This record gives sequence, structure tokens and C-alpha cells, in this order.
Amino acid sequence: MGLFGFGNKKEKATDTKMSLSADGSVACAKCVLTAGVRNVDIDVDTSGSGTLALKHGSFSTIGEGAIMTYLDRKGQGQSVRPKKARVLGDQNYWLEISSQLLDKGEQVDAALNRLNTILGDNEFIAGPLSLADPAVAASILALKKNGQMPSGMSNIDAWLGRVEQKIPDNLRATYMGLVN
Amino acid sequence: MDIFDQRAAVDESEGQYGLSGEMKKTQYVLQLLGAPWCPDTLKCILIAAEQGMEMTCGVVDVSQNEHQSSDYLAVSEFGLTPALKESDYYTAGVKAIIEFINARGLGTTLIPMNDALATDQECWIQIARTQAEPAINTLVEECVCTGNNDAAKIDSAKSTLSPILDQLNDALGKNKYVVGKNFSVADIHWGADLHLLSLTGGADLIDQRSNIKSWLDGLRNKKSACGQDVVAMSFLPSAEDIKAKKLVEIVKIPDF
Repeated sequence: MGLFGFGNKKEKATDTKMSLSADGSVACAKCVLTAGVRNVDIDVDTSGSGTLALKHGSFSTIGEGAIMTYLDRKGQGQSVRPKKARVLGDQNYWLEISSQLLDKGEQVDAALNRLNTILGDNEFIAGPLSLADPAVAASILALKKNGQMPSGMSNIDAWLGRVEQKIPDNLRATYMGLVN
Repeated sequence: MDIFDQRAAVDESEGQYGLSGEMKKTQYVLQLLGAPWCPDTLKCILIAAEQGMEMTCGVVDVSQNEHQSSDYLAVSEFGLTPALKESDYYTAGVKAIIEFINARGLGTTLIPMNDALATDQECWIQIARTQAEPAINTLVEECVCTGNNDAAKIDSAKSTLSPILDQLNDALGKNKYVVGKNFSVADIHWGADLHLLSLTGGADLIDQRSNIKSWLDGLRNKKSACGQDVVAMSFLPSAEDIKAKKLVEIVKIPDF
């Protein structure tokens, strides 16, 4: 399509390193963590302000949803987007909770209580690792930094360890430094 | 009996798919709760029709705080709308419902396989949801739901929409659909939004943009993606349906 200058051109894998420009927001943290869990080598420039944007060679895109989709597709191995309808539904339900509730500081205790219960049974939010994990983990990073994280969420703490363990060392410090 | 069975009941006497145990086309009939003036609800109806999934629909009126009632919170724990039920499975929120039905349905996926197009699709969805829909919601509220027709609010909403629709019109000048030559979930989002816009005092914004107008006319005549004999846009509510708080159910989808 025409809006961002890509579209009909067939995208080819490229060795060009991706670069993410952002303002250090929670949306940026979601993208950085997605890059981490998908083993995408990426430069992060948080000195800018405004639009969250990704550049990869001649390709560029904007916005959290688009960037997470692209990083997932370009990551190592298979996409983490679930194939089973109900698992996919669960992933997307928690993506909505992340953006509609947690990022707005709404119903935080109730949502995290539910999540803590789910993670008592599941290794990851939707069962297998999915895009819900980096999205919700980044939302929780922001809640922690703002002192809004309730205590006693042991299953969430263990899950955060599992998700953050997947981030390569070179991205971990960047990720943990976001959302100030 | 939960709120789905109260407001979007499946008529078991009709022998709908899944209820007789024959599993003819779809495993279960879907049940949706939303509102006829809500773009997200209309997107769920479009994707169900496109994918050949039968779905009963009931209204939950957010303006009356019905999404905070105990009956609704029992099926959508945090009050997210719209909400969907498939037998013992519940989910809520437009992204969850659209992609669930897309994966469950009879047609091929409406999410592009190409990485760039899939990314492009997400861009256009974000523009629809975060930039266009607040203005379209204002127009629907002013021109259809309340009939207040506040000129200042209508003008402001139209001014917001105008440059966004210029971008869309440019894109549709280069491509048959929003993100390329194939119909995708981006068309579902914009199809629902522009259907609602067409019912309001902002309809001229569509008529002034020939690419959008011909694309929307095309959607209104396009047979469903699953190849069955339905036109998905025909299930969307009219202005009268919105005033009457009525949603059209998707039942008895004819075979090929």
C-alpha cells in the first residue's frame, strides 16, 4: 500500500539490523521485549519523542501492533502467534487487557489476580509463549515502576522470570531501563 | 442460562449447526453480545459472515452501563465489549473475536501471509481504531443515536476524518483492497467504520472520495470470503436498526 511506502513489494530477509525509535513508553517496552523473546537483533533509540517507529532497510512501519507483528514474523524460528483458534483468542484477549486496562491503570488488581491464577496452571499466558507474554510483561514493568504492582503474585513473578530470561543480554538492560 | 442465552439465544428448534450433533459446517453456533452502533460489534458480524460462521447476536448497551452488570461480568470478567461465546469458550474484545472467528471459519485466513502486508494491515487497523473511530462514534451519536445533530461536534468530527480518509483514498487508488490485492482483516475494520459513517451526516466524506466510494460499493456486493452465498455487508444494521437497538443474526447460511 502507499501510506508507508511498502506493501506490494515482496519483503525479503535481510541482514540489515532493525532500528526502533521511541520515547521509552510502555508501547516501546512491549516492542523491545518482543524483539528479545523472538531473538531479533535490534538497535533501540529512545532519545526521540512521539511516534514509535521501526526501520529495517528500506522497510518502515509505525505503531505497537504493527511493530510487534513484524518482529514476530522476522524472529528466529516459527512465529509465536498461536494457530489454534481458542489459544489465539486467549492471546488477543490479554493483548486487549494489556492495552485497555493495565496500561491505563484500570482494574489492575482484578486483572493481575486473574493472571496469577492462570499462570498457576500455564507456563505462559495463553499456554505456549505468545505475543501476550511480552505485551503483558511490559505493562507489568510499568506498573512496578509506578508502584502499582500488588504484592503476593508469586505465579506472575515466576512467569516474569521465564519471559525475561529469553531476552538476550544486550537488550535486557535497555528493556529494564524503559518506562521511566 | 447466561446472558448470551438470554439475549443471543440459539433457537434449537431450527436445527442449527452443531446443536443436532451433525457438525455439518461449523462445530458450534457462535453467540455475540455487542451493540449496533459499535464499530467493533459490526466487525465481528462481518468476519463471521465472511467466514461462513452462523452467529446469533444480542445487544448490550454500554451507554446504560449494561457491560458492568453482574450478568455481563460473569461472561466478560473485566467488562470488555463485544463478547463472544462458542459452547464452553468465552472471549471478548474485537481483536480476540475477529482472529478467533477467522481461525475457526470456513474460508482461508484473512490475515496476509506476506510479512510486510501483515504489518501494513496492523498499521491500518490502528489508524481505524485510534484515529477514525472516535470521530465516527461522535457522528453516529449525534446523527443517529440521539439525533441531536450538534453542528459543532459534527464539523469537528468531519474535520478530523477528512485527512485520514484522504490517506485511505490514496491507498485504495493503488490497491483493490486496503492492503493489497486481497481482501483482509483491514477491510473488515474499515468496512464497518465506513458503513457507520455512511449512515450519518458525514456520508459526504465518502462520496467525495471516489476510490473509497467504489471500494465500499464493491464490499456491498462482494460474496463472502468462504465462497458461500452471502454478502457480509448485508448483515450490518441500518440507521433504523441502530435506533431500535437491533442486531441482525447470521443464520441459515446457504451452501455453495
